[in-house]
This record gives sequence, structure tokens and C-alpha cells, in this order.
Amino acid sequence: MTNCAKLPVESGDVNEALRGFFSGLLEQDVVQAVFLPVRQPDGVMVMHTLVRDPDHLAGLDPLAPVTPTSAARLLSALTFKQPGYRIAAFLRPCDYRAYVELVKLKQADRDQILVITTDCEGRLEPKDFLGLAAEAGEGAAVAFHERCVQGDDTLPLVQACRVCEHPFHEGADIGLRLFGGDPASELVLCGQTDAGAEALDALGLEEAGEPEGRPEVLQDTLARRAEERDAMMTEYGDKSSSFSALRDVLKTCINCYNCRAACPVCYCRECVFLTDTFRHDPEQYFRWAGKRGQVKLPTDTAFFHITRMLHMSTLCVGCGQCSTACPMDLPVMELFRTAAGRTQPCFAYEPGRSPDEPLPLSVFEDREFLDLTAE
Amino acid sequence: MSDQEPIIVAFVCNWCTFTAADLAGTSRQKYPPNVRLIRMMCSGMVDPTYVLKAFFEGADGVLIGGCHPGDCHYINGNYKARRRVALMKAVLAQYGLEEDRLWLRWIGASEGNVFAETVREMTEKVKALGPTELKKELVA
Repeated sequence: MTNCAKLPVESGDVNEALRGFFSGLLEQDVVQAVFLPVRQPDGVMVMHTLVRDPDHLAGLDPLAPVTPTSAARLLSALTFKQPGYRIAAFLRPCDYRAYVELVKLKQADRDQILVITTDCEGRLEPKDFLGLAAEAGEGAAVAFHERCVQGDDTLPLVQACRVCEHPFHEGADIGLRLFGGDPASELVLCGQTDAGAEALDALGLEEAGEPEGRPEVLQDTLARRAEERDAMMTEYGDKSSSFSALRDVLKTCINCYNCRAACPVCYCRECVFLTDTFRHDPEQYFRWAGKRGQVKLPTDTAFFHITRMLHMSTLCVGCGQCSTACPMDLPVMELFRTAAGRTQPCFAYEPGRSPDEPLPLSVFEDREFLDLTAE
Repeated sequence: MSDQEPIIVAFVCNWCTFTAADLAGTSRQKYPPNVRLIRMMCSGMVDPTYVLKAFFEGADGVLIGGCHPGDCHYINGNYKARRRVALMKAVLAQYGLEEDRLWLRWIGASEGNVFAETVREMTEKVKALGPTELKKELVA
């Protein structure tokens, strides 16, 4: 079986090479559909698109550094039931990690998809991506990669990506080895599962080795990001070290709940904050204002954010979609990752690692946390 | 009741801790009147939102009472409650909520005296901490 294979890239056109790969998967009937970022009719914006006809792959742009909304959530819309199609899905590592959590939550299915991830250098906010695409056109992905390799500090990478310690995912079926490679001349794809290796075999690609420079790039990337992550957690740990400090960080929150809607692992089918439980009786506001002299509206802001931390900080994969969705530019991702930095170690849980690991609040041990009950 | 008197909201399970509270009363055990009991069918039903709501509405402490491990009427609700309390403590500690404001205790139906003693002890500890920041600082 092929472990790693190479896709030759002609005259720097990465997308053309990937088009050949994804067309091949469809034509060889390895999958019946592909789900990947495709340029929209305006020729600029890139959105995840379900494609069944290889002729419609002309605008594909999987490496475009933008994820306008969680691809995990989008993919789950295709797989929460089993429609009988096998889908090749191109996901960033964070999106695949979120997808793994959705599989555990029984809101998505792992068996019917062939997951292809890439070594991930990060993404840009949609508005920044539009700026880059205006300059570099269809070569935006390659231009972005080159600037990352050069260590260009002016690149406005999403903060979540700067602190992401998961730039690749070993559990995906196929991994695209971008780190240490030369995407302008060839792309290396490696089968990481049996299904992945079989898919590479079916396409009859030429065997290749892992890019030589990859371990070094990976090590540097991980070290740099871990350092930034620790600094961020310390900073936001201090900035939110009391309820009033948290209130001050959240002072411009307008309770739009976009962060909740954008979060791939905010799993409730109906959010309690959108129910009548929080549609208070007018009299209630007067009681609150009477008790404390005043009440700020909208109410329940810190309550909302802390509830989310209790509901899903253990599952937070750090994708940063919450911050992307926030119209007030609040550091939602920073607050969440800081909380997650406390809750995930509590259960020795790493979200997104494997669909076979149980959700931390769905299981228990007979003898654990004994200090909580003074035993 | 003066401002110095702390309020403790207690979520107690129907089968064990509520019955223990009942026993404490019928056997004329004395315990501080600071505790407000909310009877739940199981400690495993105490959603973190209920605990947060209690704190945001001015509780100085929250006590969750359930059956001893192995005794849960619903087999394992108390074990799930324990994980949830561990989670709540981890999150709320970040925002400065003191350890002693959130208690989880296993109190069996026959342990009226343990219930009374637990309330006495928790009232003392919470009184020493004073009112919560949430009560003082207009956080909502």
C-alpha cells in the first residue's frame, strides 16, 4: 500500500494539481462526492462546497487561508444521517478535531467520510483574506504559504491560529504535507489510515517520501505556538481573574450570541438562552434594579459566557470561530481557551484526538475527585 | 436577616439528602436558617446553569447533596454530579470564586445529623468569606 504519494504541480498551479486528485477520487468512485473550499462565482470568496460532478471542480481552492464558518458544522449537516454517499472532505486540523467531537456527540458520522487534512499554517479573517485575494488573485494560497515560510510578521493571522498547538492531525485518512515541502513543484499526500492508503492506491500516484524538512518546521511551529499560547493564557488568566474583571473584558458584549452560533461544539439543539427561561417578565428587571439600584441591559451577559464555558470548554478545539463571529471584536477565543486550559486537564481530555475516546462528562470512575466530597 | 447573614442555596436529591433534611427537622436537630433547600429528583440533575443562577442572584454558597456512591436511586446520577462539580469548580475558580462556596456532599436518608452538621459547617465557612463579588459588584 502506498504510504505517501506525490502530486506533481505544473507551473506553480497547486489548485490544478489538487483538482486532478479530487477528480480522480470521484472518477475512480473512491467517493461519490467531495466537500471542499471552492471559489464562489465572484472568483474571490471561498466557501466549502459539495461537489458531485468533477467538471465543477474548476474553482477549487482547498488551501485558501480562510474558513468563514466552521466546516465541521457544515459537514455534520451532510452526515448526521447516512444518506449512502461516501464523501471526501477537506478539512483544516481544527475543523476535523471539531468534527470528531460532533461524532462523539452523535451529531455527525465518521464512517462515511474520507478525511483529508493539511499541515496548517493558519487562516485569515474573511475581510483580510479578501484583501489578500484582491492582490494575489487565484494565487492567494501560494502567496500566503510563501509569506508564512518567510516568517512574515505583517500577515494578519487569526489569533487562534497563532496559539494553535495542533497544526496537523494524525487521525485524518490522508494528510497533505505542506511543512517543509515545496508546493510550487509538488504536493505530498500521506495515507494515515487504511482507507487513506487505499484511496491513494486507487489513484495510482507515484510514491514519495515525507518532505525532509518537515520535522524541523513542525518542531519550530509547535514551539512558537506553545509559547504564544502560554503567554495568552497567562494574560487572559490575569485579565479575567475576578467576576468584575470578566465583566470589564465583556463590557461591549451585546448578547448577539454569534459566538454560540459559530461554535462547532456548542452542542445543544436548543440553546437555553434563546428560550423563554431568559425572556424575563418586565417586572423582573424592576426587581433587579430595585435590589441593586440599577440593572444593565441586556442582562445575563457574564451568565451566558460562563454557561458556555461550563457546557463546552472541555470540548473546545480552539478554532477561533467565536472570535471571528464576534461583531465587537471581543477576545472570546482567548477567554475560552483560558477556561479550557483549566477544564480539559481536569479530565485529562484532549478534544478532537479520536472519535473512540468518550466525552468527559458522559463517563465517570467509581473513585475519583474524592476531595470534592471531603472523603 | 442582616446583610452579614450568608445565603446558601442547597440543591438536594429527593431520595437521600432531602430525606435527611426532613429527618433533621423531625428529630429536632438545630441548624442555621441560612440554607434554602431546592428539592431535585437527583443530584445528577443539577445543571451548572442552576448553580450559576443561584450565585448571580445573590447566593453566597451553593450546596449540592446527593446519595452516597452506589446508593443513587438512578444508579449513577451522583457520579455524574461529581464530574460536573469538578468542572464548575475549575471554571469558577478562574473568576475568583472561593473553593468553600460550592460544596458537594453525600448525605444518606438516615443521616439527619450529618445534614445538620454540614449546614452548620458550611454556614460558618461562607460567613467568614463574606458576601460574594457577584453580589457586590454589579456583574450580570
